[in-house]
Amino acid sequence: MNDTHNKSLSSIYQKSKIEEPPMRLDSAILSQGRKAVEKRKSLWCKVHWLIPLSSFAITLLTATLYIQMKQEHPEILEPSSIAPLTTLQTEERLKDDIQQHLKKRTITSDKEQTKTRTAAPASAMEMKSAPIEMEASPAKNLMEQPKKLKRETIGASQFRSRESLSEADSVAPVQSKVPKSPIISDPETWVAKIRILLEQKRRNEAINELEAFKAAHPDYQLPPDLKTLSK
Amino acid sequence: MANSKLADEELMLSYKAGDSTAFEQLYLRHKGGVYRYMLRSCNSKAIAEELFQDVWASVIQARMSYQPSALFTTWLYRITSNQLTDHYRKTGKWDQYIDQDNEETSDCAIAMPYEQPEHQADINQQVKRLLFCIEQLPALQRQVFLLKEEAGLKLEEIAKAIEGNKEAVKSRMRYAIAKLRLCMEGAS
Repeated sequence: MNDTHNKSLSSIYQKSKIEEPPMRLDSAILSQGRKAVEKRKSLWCKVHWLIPLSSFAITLLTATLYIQMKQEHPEILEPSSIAPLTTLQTEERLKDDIQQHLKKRTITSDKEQTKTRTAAPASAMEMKSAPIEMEASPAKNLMEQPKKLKRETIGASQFRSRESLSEADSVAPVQSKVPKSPIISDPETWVAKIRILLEQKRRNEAINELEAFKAAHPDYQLPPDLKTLSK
Repeated sequence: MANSKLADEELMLSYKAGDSTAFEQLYLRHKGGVYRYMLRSCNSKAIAEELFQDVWASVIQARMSYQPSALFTTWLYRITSNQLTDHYRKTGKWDQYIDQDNEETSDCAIAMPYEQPEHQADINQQVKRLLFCIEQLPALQRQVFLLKEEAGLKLEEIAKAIEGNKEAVKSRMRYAIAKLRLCMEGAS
């Protein structure tokens, strides 16, 4: 019964569907709908055009900066300075450097040894004359340069104490008051070098290096394995 | 038109993608229903036209957020109902609009200042009579009846469109039909 009533109401209502919006509303709404899409399209076109342009500008700027940097500071852009090294690579590179250095050192010390052997009388004379001079000089210039004499005496005694550390130093001339190995500015590298010497069973050299290291870097906190290293 | 047989949801997605002809199709399909819904919900033709235009402006504006998770019709008539509600709230007639719904058993036929049709067989008279009876319905009952007749929505979809629950919609529909029947019978 209800359904029949509903259907009859619906059928009557369907016949009432005659009203439509006025034409002016139709055209206004449709043009509004079109404009919204066109506006978005035009906006997208602008953006679409801007994206490649900005990308190109960024690329150009980067390239210009790179070229400029390369011209002004080529060392910064070297692959070795740019590429990050792993710890393994660093260790390997360090080992190579140290080994090369040690090779050079052994070669030069061999040459020096041969030189000192050939020029032994001259150096022996120098060695002997130096203390004589030192002994003679106080007598001559005791009143004139007492401080200078004192410095020289201390320098000579220091030289003697270092001389006793290694064999190479014993044949070295008096002028070489610097330690046997050159001072490595980076303490870590130096410590690594000492370790390598220990690995190579060159204990005496390692101890000498350590002494030199301690003298150069007295405040450096030594690792425990090197603290125990001594003669 | 190639897209004349497409579903509303597909047309709306096409419009979202930038096809303005899809919007024209949608508008032509639904303009009558939305317009009549507004016309029968408001007493003023001018206000109905203004709200009708606002509905389509909202559709255009909200096209980018449209998701075809529900029927396009449900989405469209939710916008329509919201426009109507906003209008009542702005004009301060919201309380009146809601209070009408409490008159669940009122007999609109009694207070009807309607000119009785001379020939009941006359269809135009029946239509006029029904439109008058619809006008007499409480606003929320009229709303569910119009959503069913104009938008062709089922009870669940009406509930979604007006953001209410299905049982309330069912109840309102039952009362609306009972009153309309009574009103039509009273006229006869």
